[in-house]
Amino acid sequence: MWLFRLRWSLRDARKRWIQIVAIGFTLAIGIGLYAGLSSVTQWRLASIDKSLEATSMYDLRATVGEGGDVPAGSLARIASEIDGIDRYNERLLFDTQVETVVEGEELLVHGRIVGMDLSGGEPVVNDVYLIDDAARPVSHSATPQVLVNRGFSTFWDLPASGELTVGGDVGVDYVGSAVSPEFFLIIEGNGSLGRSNLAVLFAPLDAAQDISGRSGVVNDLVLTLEPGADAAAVSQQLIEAAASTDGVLLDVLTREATPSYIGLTGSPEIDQGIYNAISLLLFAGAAFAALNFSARMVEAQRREIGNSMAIGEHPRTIVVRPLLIGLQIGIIGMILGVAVGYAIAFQTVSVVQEVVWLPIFEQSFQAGIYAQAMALGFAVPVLAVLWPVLRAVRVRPVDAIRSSHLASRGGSLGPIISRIPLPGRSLERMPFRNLMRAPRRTFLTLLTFTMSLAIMFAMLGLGSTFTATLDDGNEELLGGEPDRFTVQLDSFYPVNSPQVQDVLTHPTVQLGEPAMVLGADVTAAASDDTADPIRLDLAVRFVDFGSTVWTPTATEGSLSPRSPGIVLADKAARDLGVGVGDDVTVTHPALVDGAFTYSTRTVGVAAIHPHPLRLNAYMDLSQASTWGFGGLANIVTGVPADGSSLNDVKRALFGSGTGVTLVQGLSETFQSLEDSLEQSSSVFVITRIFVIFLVMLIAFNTANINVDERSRDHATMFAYGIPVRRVIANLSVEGLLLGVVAVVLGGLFGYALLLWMALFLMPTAVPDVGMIVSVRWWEMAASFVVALAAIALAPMFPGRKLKKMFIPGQLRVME
Amino acid sequence: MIDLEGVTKHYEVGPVLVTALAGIDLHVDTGEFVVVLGASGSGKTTTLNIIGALDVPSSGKVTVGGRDLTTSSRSELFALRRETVSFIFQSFNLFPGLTATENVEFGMDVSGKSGSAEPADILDSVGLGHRLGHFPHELSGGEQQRVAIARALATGNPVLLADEPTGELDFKTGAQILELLAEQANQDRAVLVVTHNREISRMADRVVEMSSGQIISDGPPEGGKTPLSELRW
Repeated sequence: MWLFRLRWSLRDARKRWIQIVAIGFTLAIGIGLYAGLSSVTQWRLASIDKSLEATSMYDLRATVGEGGDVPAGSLARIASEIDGIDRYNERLLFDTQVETVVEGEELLVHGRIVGMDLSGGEPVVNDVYLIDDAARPVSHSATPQVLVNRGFSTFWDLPASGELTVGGDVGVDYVGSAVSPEFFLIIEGNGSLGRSNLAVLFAPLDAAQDISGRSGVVNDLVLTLEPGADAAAVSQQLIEAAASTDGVLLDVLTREATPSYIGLTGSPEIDQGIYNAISLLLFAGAAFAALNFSARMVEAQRREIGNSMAIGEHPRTIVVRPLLIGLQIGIIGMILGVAVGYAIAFQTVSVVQEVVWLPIFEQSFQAGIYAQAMALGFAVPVLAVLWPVLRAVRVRPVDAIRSSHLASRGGSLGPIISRIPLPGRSLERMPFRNLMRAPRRTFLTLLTFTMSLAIMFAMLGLGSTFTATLDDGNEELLGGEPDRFTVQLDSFYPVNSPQVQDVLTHPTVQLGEPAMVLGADVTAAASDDTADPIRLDLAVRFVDFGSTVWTPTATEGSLSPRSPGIVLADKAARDLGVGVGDDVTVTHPALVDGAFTYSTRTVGVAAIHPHPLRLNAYMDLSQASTWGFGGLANIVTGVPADGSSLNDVKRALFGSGTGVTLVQGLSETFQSLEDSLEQSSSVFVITRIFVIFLVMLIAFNTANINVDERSRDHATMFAYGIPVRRVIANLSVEGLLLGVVAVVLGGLFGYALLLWMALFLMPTAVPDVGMIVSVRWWEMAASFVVALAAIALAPMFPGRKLKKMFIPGQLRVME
Repeated sequence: MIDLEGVTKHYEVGPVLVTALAGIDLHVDTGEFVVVLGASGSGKTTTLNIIGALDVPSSGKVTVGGRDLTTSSRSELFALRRETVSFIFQSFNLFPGLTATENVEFGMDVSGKSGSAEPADILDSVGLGHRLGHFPHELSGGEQQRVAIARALATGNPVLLADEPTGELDFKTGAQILELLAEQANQDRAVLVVTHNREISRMADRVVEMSSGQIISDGPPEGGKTPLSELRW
């Protein structure tokens, strides 16, 4: 009996194979997106763990404060005397400028030289991983040899080896590319430096000392701890030992507090929240579509079911044939779903790897996730066919075999809606009537379109939100001067010192202004001490609020020169829960009697500025004196003089030997942010393609099933002389009606989804950024037009079937 | 109004060539109520389909309303169906999404006769003035067939083609339907009814009997035209 049923159902399948495959594929996209996107995080996390292990990322990193250094060996000696430290290595890190030529264009970017043990002998903490078996730089070579961080070399498509100029006039040979765990993901310079504008060069320690002219010194120690060691206690001992033996202040950073580590390990799980939202919605959309189509396909067989009942077949066996169709759809969905999932995951990881390249990348098959998705995907068509079959077997056989019984009555709502009077001629009303007479079916089809379009809208919106956030940030900082730049000095200098004056009066510079930037720890003053208050690390910039060149924009409150208030970013104020007039507690570096210390004070919030980066805070330059930095500057801002380019300024100032450590265009300020956003949003590009494909598949299935279900109606229309093109036009209008409603609803739900992702999910992924939700309407409109066109043109596909219809045959067909 | 000359129709069913019509000649004038009688497979429905331009003959000449169907283009055949012939089907084939009134409006719309009469009046003329806003599934079989006739009448086309119009109806309802169709012949229409029910043929002006794809007799009913009230089946 089973074999007979199977043969019969396979015959059914052969007759409707396009439909079955199309429904299966619809389901496969849902399964694939769900399984594929869910797998990405597992792959990434596993790969990150293995990559960090292979390169022995530090547990603690101790840096000599305020640009100081100590004789080589002294930090190692301290480490050797502290219990709980497993391995340690000394390094010398310093910033520089890196210059090269890329495709005939000068490239001048900020650089960082990491002097370390590159001998390849003993395993070192924070080791480098050589790309494509690159050669190791040789110590004491005539021309210093270095390795270039892979992120930079791939971004600029540098040759495997070549020459670079550092610090304005020192030529170095790079012998290959490498990665190091600290720079798998670059988040530096308060987010202003990323893989494109921070050239990290790994050099042998002696070469780094030579390049910097700081022979025999180090300024950094990286170490790993023994299992069970107390990181906090070791940190404290390091700080105390360095202060007592070398008289230096050590800044100790744990691995977990390292920005790149946070970005690297926190991001996948947070990204997964976004992926889950997208994949679940898409899976639901695809599942609804498959459910709807499978059910409709089986409903078309209700008369056959009635016939079976009439000849006394048991309902239990009647169920078998439609159930087998459901199984076939489920199997096709599962098989194609695995392929789609693998393709999606692979593509997603490939795109992510462009931004964050890991030395060890394991794309393992996530059997559990796939099994879950496949089980769900398999259940959908089976359940879908059960419902109409169970409905059909409940009908009296005498009713089931009656042709009039097949006409959908639309449940209890159909007749009510159908009576709504409509204008126009009968043919023009037909598409509306067809939709109205079966509200459940219409609703399900609408739901599938709406869900898909909502996701497409949200993903497009996220893209434009990212762009708007970056653009708004740039606009705020540039103040109408696209080449506005900031010059970072290596220390604090009096504003009338040669270091500051040289910059201000340099022929390549105009509109120069001295300023100060200091890191500060800010909490809301009103926060309860017993609770864990929100604490933000902000960069407080002291600028002249009376300047005619540039001041931050105050969206709330006002900027008063010489007033003591702080100006917070809107995002920072929201995170701290403060507004204009409230107080915040600021813990900041202070210069007391020529020595650095930390001080805590209460400051009123004077204004809110619109810059999306929350770490940017401002105070009037006059207030620097209250922190002990009166009359000093550590940065200078300006714009290139007429006839000078930004590169001219960079080259001239960095090579001037006046304590300049960084010259950076303010338009580059968001580089690492752009990288982070690119990393988070890379999946959207791939998903968007599948969403459009899903919409097309749903449209195709809808049109195809409509044509099958209404073959007798269409034959009757043909018998009355209605041309095929008019029937197709009516189907298109029906699709368009659904499409227009789906676009409106999809737009609304998509916007809600966008708000949720941008304002709730993204802040956890990129907490430093206040997203500015923005929608590029032309982009949305274009996408929706494409979607509508796909929906409206879908009836063209079964158009051939209509043209070739044998009309007399259909007119007599009862189904 | 309808002329068939030497019309043949062959179908290929797998390797077998089936002859549905073996060279038939038929002429029907306006005002005639003709019943085409025959057993299943006799070729009567094929004849009807060819007259209605739903199917094309393998050979021979078919002229309907002065138009040669054998040389007409596809679009001309569509136009013929809009302007000259109207169908009434055994299983009614009403549009389930349209009300009775709208189904009738459909007939008027396709033939370009919108506004020439009120759909309600046409439905009233077939005895359904009280069922205007009802959907097909809310109507009985006889009522549905009457809506189908009203739809065909609404086209105003001179040829009415009915394929087993009483096949799904009880005697009483079927008789009412036949009466309606017979009335149309009195209004200068050519009415062709296909049936296998010999009793029905007794009320026709003319009976064309078919067997094995050939016309075996053509003339007034045996024993003369019988009033509807005397028919029984």
